[in-house]
Amino acid sequence: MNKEVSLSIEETNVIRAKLGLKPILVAEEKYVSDGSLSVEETNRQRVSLGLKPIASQARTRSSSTTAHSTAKANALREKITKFQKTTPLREAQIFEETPDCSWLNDVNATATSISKEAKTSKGFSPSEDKAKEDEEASLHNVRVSYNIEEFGTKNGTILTLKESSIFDETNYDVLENEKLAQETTDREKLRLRQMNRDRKQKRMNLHVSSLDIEEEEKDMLTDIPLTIGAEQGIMNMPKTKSPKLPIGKIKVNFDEMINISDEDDGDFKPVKIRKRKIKDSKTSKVRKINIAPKMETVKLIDEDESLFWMGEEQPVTIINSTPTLEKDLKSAEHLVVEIERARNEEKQRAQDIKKMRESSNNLVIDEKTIFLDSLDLGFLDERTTTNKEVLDKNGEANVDSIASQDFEEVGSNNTRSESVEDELKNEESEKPKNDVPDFFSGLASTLGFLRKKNVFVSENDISKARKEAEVGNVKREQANEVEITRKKVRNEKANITNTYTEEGTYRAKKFDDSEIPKKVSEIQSKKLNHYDPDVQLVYRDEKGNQLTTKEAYKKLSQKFHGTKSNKKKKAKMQSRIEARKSAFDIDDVAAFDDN
Amino acid sequence: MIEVVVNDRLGKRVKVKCLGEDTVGDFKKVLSLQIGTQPNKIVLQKGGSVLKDHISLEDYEVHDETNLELYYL
Repeated sequence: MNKEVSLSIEETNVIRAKLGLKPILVAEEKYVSDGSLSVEETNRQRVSLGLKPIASQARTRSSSTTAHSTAKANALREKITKFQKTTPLREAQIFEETPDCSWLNDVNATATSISKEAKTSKGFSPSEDKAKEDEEASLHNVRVSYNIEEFGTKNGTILTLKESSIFDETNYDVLENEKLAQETTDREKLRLRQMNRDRKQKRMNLHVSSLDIEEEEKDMLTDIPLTIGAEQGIMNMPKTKSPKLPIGKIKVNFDEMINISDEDDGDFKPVKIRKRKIKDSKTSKVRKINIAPKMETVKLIDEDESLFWMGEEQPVTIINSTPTLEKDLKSAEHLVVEIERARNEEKQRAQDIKKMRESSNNLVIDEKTIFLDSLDLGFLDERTTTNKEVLDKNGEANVDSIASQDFEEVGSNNTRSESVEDELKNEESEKPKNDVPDFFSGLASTLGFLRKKNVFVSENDISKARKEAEVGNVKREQANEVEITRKKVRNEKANITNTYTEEGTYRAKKFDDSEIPKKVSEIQSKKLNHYDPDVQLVYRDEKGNQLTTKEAYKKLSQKFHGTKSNKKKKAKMQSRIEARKSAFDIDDVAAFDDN
Repeated sequence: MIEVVVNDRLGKRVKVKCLGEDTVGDFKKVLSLQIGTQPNKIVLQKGGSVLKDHISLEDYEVHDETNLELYYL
């Protein structure tokens, strides 16, 4: 089971080809027995595939002696090319060669070779043939983190590959002196410690943030002055803008602008205390005052006053207490039109009133004071004096014509009123003459006064008065007759009461006694028409169980109010009902047995 | 070219031919074809440390005839 399985190179190559990997090229000598391709063949294949040719160890071993000279020559050639670029310091050591170890191996072996040798020995093993030349192209340049001046000349310095993340693709391999690197880090640490101590003791203001330090370090990385490569050997990198730093001192940039911006990012971030406004609830609150869109003018309307003026027959001003917004919004043209219309209306009205006054003898009251002129102001005084003359002049026949006279004419009015007075002379004559009119207590009193004076008298009134007079006469006669008959009746009554005897009263009493119960019983029988004494009310619930009145009432009220008794009470009730039922049943059975 | 011996100690001992610059991932693919196991189900160890896929065999100092332990996921 534990037999070693191994595929041939061809098979492996087939697999690798399938996987998209480089085919393996093997030295011919070694794998002849396997029937594999020779190194040359494989290399050819690899070259055709665009891959690195394999340098077979077996072959190098076999042809080590012959290849040695060619390799030397190659190395020399290389060095000559580099010699043109490098400084004389290195020149001295260029020709010191380590004959057998490859440059790359030295690098990987971590700091075993002397720096100059590492730089100068070009990684050619002495046995390399022409294939090596191709390989040169792919050998990448290695950078050194120091200037050539920084290397100590007395002792050989050891360069190691600087540690870097393998994932960091942008970083190229960098060689550095372990000692020097250590020194720089130590210095940096010391400086930081000193800085921190100073900061703690507040001896100085720190103007350096951690970002500065990081930048410094980056600068140190980027300013790599030397490059060691397969082709170039040693070459000075183009000088960067930053000048070479003196050893043992680290430049700290005190750029004010940067520091200001960096202060926020650094470890030593100054504490910022923000001052905030304390919100004052009183000030923040905005008191809202509801302002009406328009202030309404308040007008005092004395109703009594208006009545007073009414009594004086003044026009009543009707004040619209709630002016509409539409009125306010009317334009000037509208107003003009309205005024015009109002004027027209007024004219029309005046004409109408005039016509009315002309046509009727009644008092026509309008909003104007003109009608006051039509009133007879002096008729109170004049009445008595002119009474008889007018009576002589105007008989009853004149009444109609007077009624048709214009009311506005004072004279005619007077005559009219006086004639009316005369007609009703019989009744009115007794009235007191010092009847002072009360115009100030209101319209009603005024009207009353006028009625008394019979200012408003129509034809109907006149005829009515006549009729009344006649009726009065008749009534008087009737009253006399009634009085006479009354007297007669009284006399008769007195006689009757005297004739009542004891027997009579007794009979009457008896009659009452018999009649009253009769009447009462009639009423009662009507009332108790539907009364049946045999009717028994039985209350039952939905299950048909008999209930007492109390229980029935409870059910009713619960139904009405939508309430329910709790479980316990329900159970109790149920049990009571059951008990009663069973008792009934027993009774029934007993009754049945008895039967 | 190097030949790496891969042993799972369960009865499989495979010699895989490869290049030193091949990544462990590539190596696993080749190996998987030889042993018939999916490459993502293979764990290779060298001296107890697991080899990561994106690192080359050279970097792990895998040379000719180096023994690698094979584990299955």
